[in-house]
This record gives sequence, C-alpha cells and structure tokens, in this order.
Amino acid sequence: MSTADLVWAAIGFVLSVMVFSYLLGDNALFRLAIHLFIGAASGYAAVILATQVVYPRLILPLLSKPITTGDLILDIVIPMLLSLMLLLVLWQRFSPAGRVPLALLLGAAAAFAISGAARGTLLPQAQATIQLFNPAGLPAALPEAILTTLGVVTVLVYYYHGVKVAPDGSLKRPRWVRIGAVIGGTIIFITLGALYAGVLTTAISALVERLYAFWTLVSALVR
Amino acid sequence: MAGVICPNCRRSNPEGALFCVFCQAALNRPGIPPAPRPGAADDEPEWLRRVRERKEKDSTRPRTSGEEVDSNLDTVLRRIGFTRNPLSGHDDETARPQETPQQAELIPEETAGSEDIDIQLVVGQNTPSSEPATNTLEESLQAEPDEGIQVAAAEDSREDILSAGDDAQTPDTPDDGNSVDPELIPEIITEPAGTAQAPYTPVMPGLEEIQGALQGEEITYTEPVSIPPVQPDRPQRVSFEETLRAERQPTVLPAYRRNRSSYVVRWLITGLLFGLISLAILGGAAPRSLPVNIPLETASLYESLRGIPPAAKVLLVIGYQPAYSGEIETAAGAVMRLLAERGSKFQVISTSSQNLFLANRLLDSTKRNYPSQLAPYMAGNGYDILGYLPGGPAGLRGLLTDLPASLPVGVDLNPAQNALQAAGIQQLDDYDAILVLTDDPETARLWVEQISPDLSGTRLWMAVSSQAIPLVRPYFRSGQVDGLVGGLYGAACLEQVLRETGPALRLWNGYENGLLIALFTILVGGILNFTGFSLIHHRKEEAR
Repeated sequence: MSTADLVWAAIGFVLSVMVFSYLLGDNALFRLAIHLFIGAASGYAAVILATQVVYPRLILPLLSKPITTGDLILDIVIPMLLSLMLLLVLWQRFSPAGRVPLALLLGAAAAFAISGAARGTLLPQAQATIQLFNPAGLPAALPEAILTTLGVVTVLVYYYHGVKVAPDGSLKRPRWVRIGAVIGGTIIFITLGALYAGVLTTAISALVERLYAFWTLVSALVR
Repeated sequence: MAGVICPNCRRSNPEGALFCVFCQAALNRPGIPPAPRPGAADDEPEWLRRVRERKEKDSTRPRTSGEEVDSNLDTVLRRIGFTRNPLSGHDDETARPQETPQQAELIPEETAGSEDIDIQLVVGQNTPSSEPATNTLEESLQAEPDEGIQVAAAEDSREDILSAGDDAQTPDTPDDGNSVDPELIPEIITEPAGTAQAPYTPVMPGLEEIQGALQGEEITYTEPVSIPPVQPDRPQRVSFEETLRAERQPTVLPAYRRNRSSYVVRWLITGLLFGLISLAILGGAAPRSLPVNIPLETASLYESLRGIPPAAKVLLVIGYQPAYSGEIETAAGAVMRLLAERGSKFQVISTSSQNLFLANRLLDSTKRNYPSQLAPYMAGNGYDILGYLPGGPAGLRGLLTDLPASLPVGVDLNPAQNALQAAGIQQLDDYDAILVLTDDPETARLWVEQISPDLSGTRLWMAVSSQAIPLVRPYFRSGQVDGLVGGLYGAACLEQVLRETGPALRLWNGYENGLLIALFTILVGGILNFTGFSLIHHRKEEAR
C-alpha cells in the first residue's frame, strides 16, 4: 500500500467513525462529516455541470463551430434564452417567465416517461405474463403461470375501489372483489417484505465492506 | 337526543357537528369564532381578498331607477302570509318599524346588535308598531297585540350573502346595518320543489320557552317553506379558512424523551454486529455455507458473457451513489474480470453529475481485486471515461439518436468523439454490450424503457445492489435484460462459477454473520414486542 493510499484510507476511516458516532446521538462530529459530504458533493456537481454541460453545449459551439443562422438560433439563441428565463425564477417579480422552460422540461419528461412506460414496461410485462401459458412449456411452467396470473389479477383487484349500494343502503364492495383484495394485499405485503429484506442486505453489505477496509488498513499499519 | 339546531333548515344535528348534515350550513356554536369579515384580518390570503373585492365591486354598482327588483323573497313571504319587512331597506323608508325592547329581548344575545343580523322575519310582536307596514305580519297581529314572536334569521353562515347585502344598498338608502340585497336573498330562500323540503316549525333556540305560553298561539303553516342549502362551497370555505388560521398558530412539539433501555439495546446490537463481522473477517476462514443454486439471471449473465466476441466494446454506465460503491463494485468486478480476460474495451459514462468520479474508482478497485486480468487497463487505454450524460430519459433517447452529440467532451475536456472514433463507435448499436451499474431500480427501469426496445444485437446487462433486485428481476424474466448480477450474493455465485476467490467470497463470512444477527434481532424484537403488547392488553382487560 502506497503512502497516498494509506493517507486516503486513514481519512476514510476517520470519516466512517464520525458517521458511526451517530450511535451516541446527534453530535458535532456526525454533523461535520455530513456537512463535509454535502459540501464536497455539491462543489463537485457544480464543476461537472459547468465543464460537461455549460461549456461544451453552450460556449464551445459559439467559439469553435462555423455558425450558420439556423445553427445559431437552434444551438445558441434558444437554449440561452430558455436558460435565462429559467434563471428569472430566482426573482419573484420575473418568475412567471420561468414557467415556459419549466413547462417545456416537464412536458418533455412526461412524454418520454409515458411512451417509455408503455413501450418498455406495460406491454412487455403483460406479454411476459401471457407468455407463461405458452403450450410449449406448459406442464412444467403451469404452477408459475397460475401463481403469476393470480398475483397480477388480485393486486389489480386490490386497487379497485368501486362499491355497490346494498339493499339496506350500506355501501359494499362485491364479494369477489373483497376476496381478491385480501389475496392481493397479502401479495403486496410479501413484496414489501422482500424489498425491506433487500434494503437490509444492502446495508449489511456496506457495513461488511467498510469493516473489511478498516481491518485491512489496520493490518497494513501493523506490518 | 339533544342536538344542535341548524339555524338554516331548523333540523336537529348531532352534538359537536360544525356544519349541518342536511343543508351544510355552518352551525352557530359558542367558542368558534366567525369567519373573518372583509378587512377584519390583515393577514387574510391574497386570493380571498381578491374574491371579496370583486364581490364588493359587483354588489355596489349603482342601480338605475328602473331596475325593479321583484325578488322571489317577496313571493315566498307572501305565500306564508307575510310581506318583506321594510328593514331590508328596499322601498318604503318611512314604513320601517322601530325595534321594540321586546323584540330585542327575543333576539339571541350573540346576534342582537351584531352586523350579521340582516334578515328579520317578523312573525309577530308584543306591541303594535307605531309605523305599520302595509300587509305585514305586524298589521295582521295588531288584533292580537299580546301574541307574537320574532325570528332572527340571520346567521354567521350566511355571512357572505349578508355582507354583500350590506353593500348592495342604493345610495339614497341610509345604511342601518340591517339591510339585504334583495337580489341575493331569493337564491337562498327559493329552491325547486323537492329539494331540502322542510316544514317551517318555530323550534329555534330561544323560541321553545315562549311557544305555547301565549293564549291562542298556534303557529302552523299550510305550505311548507323550501329552504335550500346555503351555497355549497360555503362550509368548505369556512373550513379552509379555519385550517389556514390554525396552521399559522405555532405548535410546540413534545420533546423526545430518550429511553435508557433503547441505548442499551442499540449498543448491544452494534456490539454484536461489529464483533461478529470483524471476527469473521479477521479469522480468514474459507467461505462457508456458500449458495448452492445460482440464480437464473446470474447464470444467464455468465452464458451471455461467454458468448461475447473477443475485444468486445462495452459501455459501462455509472448510476450508483458512493454509499453503495462497495457492493456494486464487488458485483461488477467479476463481470469486468471476465470481460478483461477477453480483451474487451470499456467506455464509461455517468448519469449523475455527482458520481462521475466513481468511474476511476471502479477501475482502481477492479484492478486491485483482479490484477492479472486488468493490469494493462488504464484511463485512456482500454478504459475511456466519456463524461456525464444529462437529461434523464431525454438524455437516454438522445444517446440513441445521436451518440456523439450526447457526449460532447470527456472528463479531461477533450472531445469524447476522439475516443468514440478510436473504438469505432458511431451509434449505440455499435457496442457489443451495455452494463448498467446502479443501486436504484428507477435508473434500471429508465434504461430498460428508453433504450432496450430500440437495441438490435447489443446485450443489456445489469449489476445492481440487493435492494434493487426484486424490482429489476421482472425485466430479466420478460427478456428485456440479458443478464443480471445482484449484490454480494450474486457476485459470490459468479465467483463460484469462475472458481476464483474474489472480493465477494472474501467478505462472505462476515456478510453471513451480519445477516444472521439482523435476522436474530428482528425475530427477538418481534417476539418481545408481541409479548409486551399482549401483556399490556391483558392488564387493561383485567383493569376493566
């Protein structure tokens, strides 16, 4: 291990201990570490945005590219105008001007998200569920196909909130909906449990990796 | 059952009700301040002030002399045997009766003299008026001077209408504070038959005591008066204003009292975790209880890796946070090792501006773990960092449509196009594989949704953290992802297949100990919690 590696490992160790000090409760060391991380991350992000977005996409084309009128308008004027309008959000008096670029951003994001969800999730996932009943693999895949279909249908039923008026005037969900909702709710419950287990596993992995790095550093110092 | 009588429809409501369950009018309850009058509160919302100003402007417009306002109120009052009291300030100023002391007594104290008292349906009076109005009830009751009641019908719930009535007076009419805009009243009083029909019975608070006390008193009406709900948005508005007022009040939160036993439990769990994991790491024993069955997605990834051509071009996507670098780098390390063995070229992008530095760290840690395979790899030599890709889903679509334009400069500020040209990459399909490294299922989903449908021949692999596995696995099952390795578990499986002890297997024993302690803690905590709850419940039952 080189000297530089050793120094950085020691800094990492100290910062890890500062974060672990939260076990004692909220304290100055923990807050110092958190502020250090946030400050470093914000500074780094600002530099990356300046060098990777503003410089190559706004300034570089202006300096190096032979500019035609069309390029000038499309590549420089419109982006710069929209950026300036977005900056005006900082001043309350002119903040309405910022709605135009914000609307463009949100509209574009929504369009991409909707089309992507339809093409990339809804249709392929529905197709995959149906594909389980492909006769070619049916005898073996039948239990999985039934369970998957049952899960999909009952979870959808769980989110059905329509009611009917009973003869006595009370509002009730149909019986099949109630039964389906109980099964669907159970499946959702199991899914959330699996997600929680995943989060716990990830946390344990991070702790093990940090402790491994710590003991590696200690053993390197001892040698 | 004693309830609250609605001042509007005269029906009985449950105790504690703020609004009438029949007509939605606000119930006049002591202790609840009325909604603020226009201009009463300096801190009223801007939108409310504008609405009031608009209403005021509209209602105070000068009326022409020919503008005859023959309101439905007159019709209704005539139907029940009355005419409109001149107190409304409409026509005959001279016919306005003076309020007698007896009348003042009969008006509830909280409303008497208030500016909210605008409508008075004078049913009778104890003494004849000195200035009788034509065809009014006063006149009809003059024959029976000892009988009569007076109904003060104005309530806070009609504040907006009544206040509008205050302002709606014609300029030649002196403002006595008790006038009502006749245009507004019928909207309250009249309603199509069949809605909110309520026979008029004088059961207002304060009237029960005198009812039947007078000889010959019999107040019965043949035609029911239809009293519709007050404007439907009124209760909501009052409720909204009350909520706004309540939100402005500072609330002192109760201080969190630290429990000594929680400290003990916390340190106990910490000690167990640190001690047993460190013991496993320092022990250096061979990995035990390794997974027997390799997950389908990991096996598929391995098969896909073996099928890749030599010197393949692979796009690495950094989409994880530094906190998860230990787990992701372990999972991705085994994949990179296999690729490096075949002489693959890596090009790296980041979808987060904060995490581009992790590209260098990934190379360093992988070289450290697999020195023999990755020794020749250096930044710019088989490993190019193309930079940060902004724009989220739009940026990903841009990667498909115009790859060089999406990545203008590398991290060294040199044009990324140089590295792309050197590798012979013109478009995304020129890569043999894309390996997405992420801890976030949303990032994985974005790549599947935006990129996967348009790829032809390029494999899409993922190395994700354990927490993302359950949400990414369906995309593998549907065939949208060609291979997947998840967390330390997936990496350990891959290393087992490679028959090589990598970082995952070195951490395995500590990882297993950590999971055992977590399971033990959850189990014991659950049992203790259940037992304690049952005990408390049992004691409460006994106490009853």
